[in-house]
Amino acid sequence: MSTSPLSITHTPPANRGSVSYGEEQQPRKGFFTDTSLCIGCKACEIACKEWNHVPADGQHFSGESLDNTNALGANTWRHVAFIEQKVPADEMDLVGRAQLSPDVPLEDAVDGMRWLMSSDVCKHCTHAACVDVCPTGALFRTEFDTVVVQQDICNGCGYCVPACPFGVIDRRKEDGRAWKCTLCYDRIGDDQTPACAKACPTQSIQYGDLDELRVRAGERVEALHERGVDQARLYLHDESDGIKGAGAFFLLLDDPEVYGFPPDPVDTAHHLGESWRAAGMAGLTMVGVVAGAVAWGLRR
Amino acid sequence: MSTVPPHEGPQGPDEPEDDPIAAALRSAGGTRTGSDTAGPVDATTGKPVAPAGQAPITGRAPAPGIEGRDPAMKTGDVDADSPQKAGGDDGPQKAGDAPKVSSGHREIRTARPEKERSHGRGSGGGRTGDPGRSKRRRGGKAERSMVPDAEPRSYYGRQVVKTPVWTWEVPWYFFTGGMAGASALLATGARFTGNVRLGQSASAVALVGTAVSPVLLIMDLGRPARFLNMLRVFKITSPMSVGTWGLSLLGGSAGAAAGWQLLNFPPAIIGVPSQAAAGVFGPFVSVYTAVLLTTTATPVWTEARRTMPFVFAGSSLASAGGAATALTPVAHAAPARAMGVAGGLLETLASTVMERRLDHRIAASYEHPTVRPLNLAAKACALGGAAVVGLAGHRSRPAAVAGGALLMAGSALERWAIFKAGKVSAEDPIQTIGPQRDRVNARGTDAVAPE
Repeated sequence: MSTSPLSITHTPPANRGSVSYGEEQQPRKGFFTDTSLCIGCKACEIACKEWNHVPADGQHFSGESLDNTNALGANTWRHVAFIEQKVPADEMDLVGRAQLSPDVPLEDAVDGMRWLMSSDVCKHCTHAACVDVCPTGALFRTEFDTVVVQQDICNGCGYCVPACPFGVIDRRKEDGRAWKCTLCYDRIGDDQTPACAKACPTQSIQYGDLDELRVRAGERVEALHERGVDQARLYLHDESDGIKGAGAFFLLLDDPEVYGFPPDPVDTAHHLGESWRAAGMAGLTMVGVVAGAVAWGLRR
Repeated sequence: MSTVPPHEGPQGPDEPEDDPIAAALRSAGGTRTGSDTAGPVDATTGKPVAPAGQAPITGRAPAPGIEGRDPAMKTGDVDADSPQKAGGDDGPQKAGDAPKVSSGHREIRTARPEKERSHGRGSGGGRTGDPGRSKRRRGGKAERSMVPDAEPRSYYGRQVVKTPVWTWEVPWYFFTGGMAGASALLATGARFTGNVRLGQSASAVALVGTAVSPVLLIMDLGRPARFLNMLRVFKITSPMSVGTWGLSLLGGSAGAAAGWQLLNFPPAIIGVPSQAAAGVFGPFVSVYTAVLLTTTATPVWTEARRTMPFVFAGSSLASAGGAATALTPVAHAAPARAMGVAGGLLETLASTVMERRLDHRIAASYEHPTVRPLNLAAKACALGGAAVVGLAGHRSRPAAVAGGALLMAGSALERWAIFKAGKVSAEDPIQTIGPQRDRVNARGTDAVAPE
């Protein structure tokens, strides 16, 4: 993960994940989720469920926080995380002040605890492990450079589930196929904003052209730093990470793992060369052992 | 940053082992400053104090964290049902108290009353397994230790990557596919060097194995009727796609070869090339399954990508050697015995090396109660089978059968141990986060520090 927010990289077409759509290629779309603006209302979760007809997934009382959704999964394509942290006042007032407005005086800042809230979603990785490992081609990259499962193709092999470094995609039990966020493929094709971003009341979830979002995110981090929120950093915003950047990236106020994100996600397909080389050696070892065994049998 | 889930360090005898709230606060990040010190007892009153922010969550916590402001409130008289009060929302008077509050926060670590200990463990498994388990495993320890350590933070101890959804069919497929592949190789070697009897048993095993394997694979699909969608594309980036094609080719060639060897149909003009092809696809099918596992985000699998193929190679050799040893008269089975012994040894050696080379946090998967017995039994069976076959297999057919069965059992158990270890590994956030955090720290790119 890179944290230099000012190195905004505009993705040159050659480095984009998609194969060519030719003239139908659209600008890459994505989400910028600014967690410093999230109020934890979970409207994104509801809007996503309603628009996409995602089934209910039961009522689990976590007993840990206001987060009873627990995790992304086949039936949860947006998940709002709640993190409660004790923070000393001298640090807290800066955070609190900045989260409210620059005009709130220092002494009015709430102290003692801070609440981090973050709406998690499929990252629509530039190098997406799920797409790489899918044996049927059900997972594909759209003309918007988003990652979508073709439900009429998926045969539920389940390979994408452990392949995803973020634990996003999962197999729906009663259905047998893999499901995840589509970045509202049906909406964005019609120039509509995805349901979650549309429902977000604070613009914590921003949808748009990825290049533009990256610029906006860089400016936002700069602004937060100026207000003293030094912890603000971007996550998955450029190509320096193991997935070569994400279509859905985040502004965080703490380390990624605090929000349940992996700090250094890697597209596992990057290791294919290493794995196959080892497998080749192992296969040759087998041939050698059998050749030796047969030769030994002949001599006796 | 001293935070949170403190792992090592002193643990008081009265430490609540199962305090989900405190564990949650810790694992969710807890305090962010580096200056916390252990201080279970409030300095002013001598009474135990509780961390701020707990009362509003449970509504039951005693004397939640307001200490440091008003001594009268530290005595545990705060109405715990009043979340606002307990949460420290005391408005205007606060400004001047800020330094005290902050120091109070650095001292809060509590001994919690008995009734709290069993309370609140209601997290009750969502889809993602039992969050309580990982907390119990790591949390609860050393709540007072504020010493920064290597234990990474996580989101309430929840897993980061998903648990593989594959079920029992998959490890059994690894076994049958591996045995079929190595048997096809042995059938080729034996037949082409004139050992017809051994070639026949080995090709029979290859035939059965390649017949059973696709059935297992199809059973594991969420939509078995769509199995053929596997063959609508060939994707070099997907080990499963490559492997499906490899298995199909092995099935065809090994099937034809077995017909030639056992029934003399198809004739040699088809049978011989088929047997040769089976000898090529066989080892491929035996080892590609390791690549299938290592091309995931499951730590214990992907981090073993250089060694696991050798485990699978050894395991395949052991099972195929064992099967052929058991099914072939002693006089013709010498190559099978050698193969089985070498395979059993390779399997044990390679799996030991694999486990040793893993990061210690990840290698812990093989110590998990659901994995360790399988792992130990696998090695015992492999070594025992190799010993029996090697020492007595050439004298006695019963010994050959017993040794061969042991080698096969060891092979199957090894696949199961690796398979189960993957499930354990995925459910432990530390295995995902720990090594990744180390990588980030080593690169020094995670530069945004609070101070």
